[in-house]
Amino acid sequence: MIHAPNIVYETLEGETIVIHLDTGNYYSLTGSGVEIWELLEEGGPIAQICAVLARRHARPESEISNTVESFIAGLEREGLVEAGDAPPNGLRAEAADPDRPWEPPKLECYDDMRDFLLVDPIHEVDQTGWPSRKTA
Amino acid sequence: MAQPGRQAARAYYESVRRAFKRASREAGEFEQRLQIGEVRVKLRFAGPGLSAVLLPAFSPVLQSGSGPNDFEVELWDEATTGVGIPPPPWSLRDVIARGDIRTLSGGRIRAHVARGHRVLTMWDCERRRGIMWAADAHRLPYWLRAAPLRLVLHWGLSSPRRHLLHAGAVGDERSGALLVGPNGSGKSTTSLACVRGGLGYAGDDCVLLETEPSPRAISVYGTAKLSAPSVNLLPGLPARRPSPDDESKFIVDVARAWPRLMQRSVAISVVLLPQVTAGRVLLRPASAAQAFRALAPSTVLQHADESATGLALMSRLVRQIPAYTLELGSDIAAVGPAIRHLLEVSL
Repeated sequence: MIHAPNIVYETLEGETIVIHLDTGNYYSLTGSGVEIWELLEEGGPIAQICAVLARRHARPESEISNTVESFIAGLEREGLVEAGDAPPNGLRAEAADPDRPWEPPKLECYDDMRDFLLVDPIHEVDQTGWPSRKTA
Repeated sequence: MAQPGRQAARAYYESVRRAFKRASREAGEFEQRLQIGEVRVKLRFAGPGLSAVLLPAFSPVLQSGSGPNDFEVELWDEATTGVGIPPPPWSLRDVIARGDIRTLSGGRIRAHVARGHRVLTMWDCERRRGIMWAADAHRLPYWLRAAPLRLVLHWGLSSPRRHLLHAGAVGDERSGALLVGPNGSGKSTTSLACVRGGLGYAGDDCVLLETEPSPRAISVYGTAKLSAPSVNLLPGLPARRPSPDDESKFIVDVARAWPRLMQRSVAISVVLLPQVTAGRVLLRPASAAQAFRALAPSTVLQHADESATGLALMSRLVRQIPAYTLELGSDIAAVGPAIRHLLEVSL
């Protein structure tokens, strides 16, 4: 999996904010969601991501894999990640870091920006291509 | 080799420019310069239609004289010049949600149509030249009259240290507040409450962020847009309805009503996140991430181009400047004094 092309994002104070440029939705990723998002930037099989996180947080892989898979499935449902090539050399292995406790990933969706994207390109454009408002 | 779509975009752009030249020959040309911060813009109007409708909003940045420009924009409307644009080459599925024309954008040329209105805006990134065509200047929607050319200005003004923000700004050159949040959060109401309380004004929902040498918000427009409930909250404002058909929107010409309070730029010493609440006005510290969530999505979704640079600037700003949520409360007259006090202690 890898980041989708139509998104922009920024990480501040342990929170990644992702903006989907086509839907207008934006998302807050917290907990280990920030780390998962960083690992997805490189791309890679979900199993490798789980292995890296398990090693980093000194947790059994079986303990975190369901949570990680479910979180990435949520990202995929929202169009924030898509299938992509794995990095040629795999994800970088890291030693356990006792200062980074495992926190379950959290994904919150905000849809209050849909006003900016009022026009549906299929149903609200006239035959010459000019966008028009949908009549009630 | 250039992609066929990009060649078509350039060909269409050139054909629209030829239409502008024809309109200019037939209806006459009028030039007006703007000074937005350090950036000089030349507007070339063919015919009187658009200049009469668009220029009032730019009153604080109108500039006389001549000299070099950073970029120029050619503008005309069909109703007063009799000159239209060549048949649109885009098709039903080419216009994506924001109004960007997929098949004409992405390379050197950018193209956009206003949703629900026959207004075409194009930009040549290499020559730094914009075009705006409207079917009828007098049928422009209120947001294009109150905050005209926003997209062309975004294309022309964006740089690694400048970005057009969806935000208001009040205060002065020593200390000021950037007001951030989605539409309906209270940015315009807060801005005008501050003006009534004697604070300087740089904009209600669109200002230019300059980050060097220190963050400041530069005024682009002298107008503010208000909804009917906000006008009721601030009785006595010189608010006018931009269209007799729409009773829900109002424009306030702040530059005309309070010329001494109009600021060319405001130092950004705090970021405020207004929230419509009952009770009393209250300021609470907010995190940089909260401020970013209130500022970045609406800014980026209005202007998706250059979004990576814009996000980096906004991220740097909210890390650098303290942020507060501003619970507006039910006594709107208390908002101006509360912000004035905050700005004084922030000096």
